Amino acid sequence: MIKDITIGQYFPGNSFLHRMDARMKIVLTLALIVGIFLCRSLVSIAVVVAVTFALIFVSGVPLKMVLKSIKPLAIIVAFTAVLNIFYIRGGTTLFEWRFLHITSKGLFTAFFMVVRIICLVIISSLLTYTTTPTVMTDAIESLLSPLKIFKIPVHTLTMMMTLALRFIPVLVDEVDRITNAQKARGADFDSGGLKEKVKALVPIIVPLFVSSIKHAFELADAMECRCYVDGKGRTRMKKMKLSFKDFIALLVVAVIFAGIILCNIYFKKVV
Amino acid sequence: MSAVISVKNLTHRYNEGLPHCHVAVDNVSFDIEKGDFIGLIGHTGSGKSTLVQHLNGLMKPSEGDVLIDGKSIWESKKSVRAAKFKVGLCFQYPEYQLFEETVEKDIAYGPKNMKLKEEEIRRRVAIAASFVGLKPEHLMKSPFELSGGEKRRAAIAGVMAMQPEVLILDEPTAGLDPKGRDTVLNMIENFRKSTGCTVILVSHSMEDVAKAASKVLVMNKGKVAMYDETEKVFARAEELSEMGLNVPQVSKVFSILRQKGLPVSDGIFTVDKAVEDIARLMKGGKAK
Ligand SMILES: Nc1ncnc2c1ncn2[C@@H]1O[C@H](COP(=O)(O)OP(=O)(O)OP(=O)(O)O)[C@@H](O)[C@H]1O
Ligand SMILES: [Mg+2]
Repeated sequence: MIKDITIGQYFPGNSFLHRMDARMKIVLTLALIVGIFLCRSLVSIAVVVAVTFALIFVSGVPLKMVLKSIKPLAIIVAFTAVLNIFYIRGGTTLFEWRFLHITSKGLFTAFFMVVRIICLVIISSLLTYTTTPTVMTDAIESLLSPLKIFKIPVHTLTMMMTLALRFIPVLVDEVDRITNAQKARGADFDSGGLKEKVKALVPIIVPLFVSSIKHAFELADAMECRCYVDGKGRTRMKKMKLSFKDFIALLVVAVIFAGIILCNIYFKKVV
Repeated sequence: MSAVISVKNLTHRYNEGLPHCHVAVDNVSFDIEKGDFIGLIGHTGSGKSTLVQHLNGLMKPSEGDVLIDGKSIWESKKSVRAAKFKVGLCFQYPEYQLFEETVEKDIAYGPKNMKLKEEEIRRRVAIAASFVGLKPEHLMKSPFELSGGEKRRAAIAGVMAMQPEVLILDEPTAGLDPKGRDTVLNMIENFRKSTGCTVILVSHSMEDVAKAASKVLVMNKGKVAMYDETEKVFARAEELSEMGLNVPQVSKVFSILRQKGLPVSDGIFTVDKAVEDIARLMKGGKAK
């Protein structure tokens, strides 16, 4: 159950996407997401789907793992689809029964929403699959550094983020370990009603809190012992540098972006 | 002689299907006889913890099967659950499983899950607490107020209170001082004597294993390297050291004495036996 959480999960590899500069990756991911929401015609959405699959292929992450990241969203996607089908009116009416109307525009909107959400999740999970959490937060810090002018403690914020990300696998392991220990004492997490199920979690949550707080104190001590001071004057072991392939990626995304807009102009808009 | 647990061609792979897939237990088969006290030793990462978690159905084998009393654990949902009560497993650093308001309630957690009657639970908690030497005033405390060693004992009591037929302890003495270790080992031995249960003790300390176990199972790189009576295993000192393991220090001393030409006996690996043997020599005894 807990193992299904794929956010922040890194998939080791050495693909083009793995080797790109993380800052460029973040910016281009955002650009692609904007592109996804600009799609209005069937051809442009087809372009987006093609690009998404091309990216999966380039990243070398197995399709199965990528699809796993969509699984938790299945309910939300289905819900959005149903809402759109029944609420949006326009175009030709295909079906009518009392207060229910299904129109062609509603169907198209629902279809677009589903495809958009799925592509969005896939593209953003590819970002985390191909970037280690530490590199990711470094990149975010670098991208946010202009905010320092407004006296926003960017370094502290990203340090908190690094630590939070860093501790996800630790906590996942811990949950596993505690769950196993309680299962060995006959804990039953599957049967019973909602109340029993929630109650069954207490033996996991209490030890988890205890050990998280312990981890936090230990970490604070360890950082102090190594003379950690906040922000100013810290240098990096690994400097981030833009390289040739980052500009190729930029060019490709620019072409895709232009393509989406051109398709919107030259083909029939359906939503 | 009947096998309580029998392991058949057990293989376990972590991260199946990922690039960092790792075979932790590799095609292992063996039987555990009723009433045995087995020491499970092996280098760090040799797969001991992974192996023992299969014996009570916590982990599902990638391949192979584990039988308890001749029946597969994985036969039905019910048998998986039953395995947890038949085979009590106490984890490495078990103190992290404590969660209740009082130590007493925490020890009662296992028996309560077995759906026992209130009186029976209380009786078992009292017995388990006395086995591990926790006094009534400890039982009323919060488990988080205990010292490290006391927490460990409370956690072990939590498993003992389920009165399993097989008790597995994963490094119960790790991080304890020598006296604390002896206390824990004595606790286990007392529990075994009075309940007649089978015990599997995972340990890095050859001394502990030599003192307590009647049989030793040696794991190496996910495979069973040796599985025999304690004397016979520790007699193969060279093979053990090739696997990064030691023999008990007493054995080392005795093998040096033997090289120096003293007529000491074979198969000595505990201090008590060593004292006996040296006393015999000093009285002018001959080699056996
Ligand atoms: N959750 C896990 N995911 C992936 N690999 C694991 C996991 N747990 C253990 N391993 C790997 O499996 C192997 C066996 O681990 P195991 O914990 O069984 O060793 P061990 O013999 O108990 O070691 P130790 O004496 O240090 O406790 C190790 O190489 C370890 O890296
Ligand atoms: Mg272990």
